[in-house]
Amino acid sequence: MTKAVSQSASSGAVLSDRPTLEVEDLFVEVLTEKGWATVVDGVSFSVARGETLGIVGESGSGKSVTCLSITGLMPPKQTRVRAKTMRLKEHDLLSLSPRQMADVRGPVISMIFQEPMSSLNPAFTVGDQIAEVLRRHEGLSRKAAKERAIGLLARVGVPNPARRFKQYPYEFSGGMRQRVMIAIALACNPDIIIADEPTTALDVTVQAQVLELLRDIQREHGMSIIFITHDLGVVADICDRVVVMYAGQIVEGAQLDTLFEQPEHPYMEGLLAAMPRMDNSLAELVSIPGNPPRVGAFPEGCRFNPRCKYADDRCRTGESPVLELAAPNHTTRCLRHDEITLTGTT
Amino acid sequence: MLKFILYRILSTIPVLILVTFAVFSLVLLIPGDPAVTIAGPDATVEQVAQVRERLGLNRPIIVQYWDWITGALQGDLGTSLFTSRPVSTSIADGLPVTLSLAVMALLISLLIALPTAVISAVKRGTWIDRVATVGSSLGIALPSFWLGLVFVLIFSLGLGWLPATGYVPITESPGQWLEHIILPALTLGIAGAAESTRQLRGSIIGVSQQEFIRTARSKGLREGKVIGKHIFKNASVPLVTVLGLQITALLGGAVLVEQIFGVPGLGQIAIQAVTTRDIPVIQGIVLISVLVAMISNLLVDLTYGYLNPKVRPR
Repeated sequence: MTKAVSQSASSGAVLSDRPTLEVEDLFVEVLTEKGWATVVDGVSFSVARGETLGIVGESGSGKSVTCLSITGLMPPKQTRVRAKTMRLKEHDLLSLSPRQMADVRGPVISMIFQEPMSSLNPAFTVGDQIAEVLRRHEGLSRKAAKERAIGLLARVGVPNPARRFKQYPYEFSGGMRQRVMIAIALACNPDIIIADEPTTALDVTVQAQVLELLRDIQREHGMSIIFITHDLGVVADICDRVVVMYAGQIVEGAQLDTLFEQPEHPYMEGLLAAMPRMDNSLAELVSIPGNPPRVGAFPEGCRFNPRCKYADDRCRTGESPVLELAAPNHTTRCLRHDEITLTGTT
Repeated sequence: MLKFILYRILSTIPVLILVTFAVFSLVLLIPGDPAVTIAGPDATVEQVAQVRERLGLNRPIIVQYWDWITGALQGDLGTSLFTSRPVSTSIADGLPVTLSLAVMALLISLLIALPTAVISAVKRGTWIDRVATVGSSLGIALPSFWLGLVFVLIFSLGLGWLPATGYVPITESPGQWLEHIILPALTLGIAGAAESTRQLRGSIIGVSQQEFIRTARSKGLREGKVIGKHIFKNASVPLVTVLGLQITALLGGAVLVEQIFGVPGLGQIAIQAVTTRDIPVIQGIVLISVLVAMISNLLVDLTYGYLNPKVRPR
């Protein structure tokens, strides 16, 4: 038997002594029509300096809510957040007031969102939206902020930055807008950037360019990245370590290669099998049967059991299983991980 | 931007021609013959015909229109059939009064609406919001003539703070002008305030759920900046539409309010002209009202261009 780990997949932090971000036992409840529902259930993870952590999961698995809760961006009246630890560098996020939290957003942690089309304010110039972060956090003058913003636009690969500075978001393509979002996120040189499906809304070629840009920037500045996505191809491209979320819980966590080669949770195996591949393009597309459970309607036992081909009676009753160590630096929430052999990619 | 303004002004010309012609012919369709009225009840057919000849009422409508419109372009709107005063003089007397009343009413309604809407949107669902919602329903429902009388009862007759009727031009004494204009402007502005509050509250709530507002917060901007800059500029588009409509409604409402408070504005002149079938005066007033409406529409369009860069011409 492996021993249960209450802590986290964080035991795998390799790069430095103290992780940049540490989250332990995060619970998030949101107010729905039927009352409070737990959408994030005991999530723990950490991100080391310069590391890229992938958070993988289907829509509604709680990955975005996890990150919005960390940054204090969930609507306060409809959200309850508690955790054992939520530490970002020297800041204890649980004890910060909303005002103090706002001071942290920008220079310490920043975000890139999924929809570049709707994430920029249509009524202000792109330049103004970049410069305003610098003015807010670094107290720059209008002129100095403008200069820095033009530099940032150039850095994220927007051609003709001085002219583009004065343009409005509608004058930009989707990929260019996402570059602007990256410039905003990068402006105050944060320690960690949360990228919430930043490439999902983009064309494949543009996707590759944006990923490339993020990688370059990370190399230059040594910042950490949390990359939220449901696209395993993107994960394989950019992440060092991955946690997999299902129905509000982390169900597996490991280094990228380990996770892809030897998954320890049937859900991850299913995701890998569902990934279309070049070498057997004639084969049928595989999918995981059924749908993820809705919030507030989680099944008894393992939350994945109704869709799991390995599930037996133990999986269908009682509390949901705890996260266990399947191997060093590899956690899983599967009760049967010792008994079953799962196939990964080769 | 200059090209846009020029284009918008030029494009009002055909509308202006159509509207003025419609106004001109509509007045002639009103039952009753001004020549008969002027000539008096005992006039003979010949006398009526003479009056008609003198006033040019026997010529084809299109000729009369041409005379009138070319005159109007030179500031000559004809003379009143009854007082024999030039129409433009009467309008020049009444227009500043009515305009200052309308502007004050608009100002008061914004002074009420802006803070109320912002507070009730931010404090959505709390008792403050509910009080504001009930208040704006009342503001829309209560008729202005009733409100006007209540204000006179409270502030003039009861507390004695402000005069009940009358008017002093601003050029004569700004202080007294303000004293006389506050009650009528408040009466006129309250309905608009209520409407603007509702509209703005709704659009603030709508805009605050947009993703770019989350982006603004994710930058660590202070809440005041998020609301005052990022939400407000987007949320004020529907407000501007409502304000544009209100300017014209204010001119109509002014007729009633001027009667209640005895303010010698365009409304009083209009009522007098209508009851006596003083056609040149009616035409002049309608023309001025149309112009005011068109100018306010132009301003609304230009404001749109400022608020929403997408509608600016490239």
